[in-house]
Amino acid sequence: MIRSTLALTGLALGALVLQGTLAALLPPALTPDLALLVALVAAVVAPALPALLLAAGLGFGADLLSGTLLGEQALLRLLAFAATRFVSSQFHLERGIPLASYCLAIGLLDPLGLAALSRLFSGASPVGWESLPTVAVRALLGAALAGGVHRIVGGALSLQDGDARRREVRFDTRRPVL
Amino acid sequence: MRDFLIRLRLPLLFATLVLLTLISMLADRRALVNLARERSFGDALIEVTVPVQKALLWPFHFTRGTWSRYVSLVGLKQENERLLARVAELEEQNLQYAEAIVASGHLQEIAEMRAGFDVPLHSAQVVGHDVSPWFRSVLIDRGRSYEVRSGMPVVTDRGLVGLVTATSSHAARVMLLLDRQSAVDGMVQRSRARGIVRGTGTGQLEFTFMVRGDDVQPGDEVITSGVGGAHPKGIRVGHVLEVHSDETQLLHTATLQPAVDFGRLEQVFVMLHRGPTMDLLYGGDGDLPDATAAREGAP
Repeated sequence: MIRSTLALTGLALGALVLQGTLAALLPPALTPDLALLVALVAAVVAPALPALLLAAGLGFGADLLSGTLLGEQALLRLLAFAATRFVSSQFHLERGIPLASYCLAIGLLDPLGLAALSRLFSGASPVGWESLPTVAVRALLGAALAGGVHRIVGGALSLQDGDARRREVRFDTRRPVL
Repeated sequence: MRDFLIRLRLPLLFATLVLLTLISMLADRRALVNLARERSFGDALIEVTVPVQKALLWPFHFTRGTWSRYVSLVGLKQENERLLARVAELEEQNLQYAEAIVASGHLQEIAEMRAGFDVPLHSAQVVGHDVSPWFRSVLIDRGRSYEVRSGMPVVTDRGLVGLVTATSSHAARVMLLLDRQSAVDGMVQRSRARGIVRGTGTGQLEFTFMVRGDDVQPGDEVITSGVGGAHPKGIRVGHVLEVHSDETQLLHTATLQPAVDFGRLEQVFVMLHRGPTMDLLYGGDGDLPDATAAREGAP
């Protein structure tokens, strides 16, 4: 458990640093929101408590490294976590196409949420109509990268101790028995 | 009871975190308005990410620097001859202007203005960009230990870059002019027409002004007016690309091309200066840097 938590923390920090570095080199539309992807995928594949803390940590981290108000992206990540857990309980988000579709949808909704929160708390929205192509391209990019991020987060989670892994074996009642 | 609490652990934690985000947003909004966004608790993350981002970006900066220093200097001789001719032309013009100023008796005023402009500058490197593409801010590698404070203007040799909005011990965040939340009181250098320069979130700026005749024309230089106290007067902001005139509107707008190339921002200078308005916002906490100490170098 400790190893996987450490791995997830390292992954979150790496995602933020890599995203900041890519932002300096690539145009905004081609800079993937890696922090959001890691939070979404972790909400699907990781246990609830670490995934919740990871979402909050990634959100606050992004707030510290961004022009947003402290807590703005954290709130969005927490809402994304809750939505993901709910959708994940209804559908098999672990699979490639559902996960990519879900990341695409959240990638489109997240900037709208940011715009609404900024308008509410700061009086000015950072996302205007002219940003829609950027929003769309970033969401598509996120969907394309979702599978890769899923593998990386899954790899980090597989570092957990054997005992813990055995404890988490359970029957998945959503899947058909046959 | 214990089982009940364990079952509620996750929803309770979720609700607590949501509440925490709302409180921190309100508190940060208040701090932003008061320009008192010195975040000690965020230091650790910024202190870790800044050197890592600096190291990751080093190969790109090195390649770009090598290219601009050596490879792109092929036409240097012709360029040098052209520039020498241009310098001679400008020196001649300068002499004429100096003569005109002396003749009009304004030389003393100009000298005073220059003295007022003479604030200590701290060189800083841009080491990180905003992780969100919807905000335009950068991280620089100078913070409170170099006397950098929120509310200080940041410039390059080309013109105004933005304003420091948050600091940690060894880094600071600068909101660029391009950010939609950025607003600077500016004026047209030629006609002295005043207005507000706002960021649009794109690569250009918007200048809102009240029209009196043909006060603003394409090609006009826009500088800071000094009104509002955030920026010293006379820093280049950009030049007018296009004027959008609608006679039915009282306020007109013009599109500005920023003087600074924000796509190639590497080295910037923090002006260790806060205007009187900023001092009023801070009250009497006296954390303005001592200019002499700042000139002598930071720790």
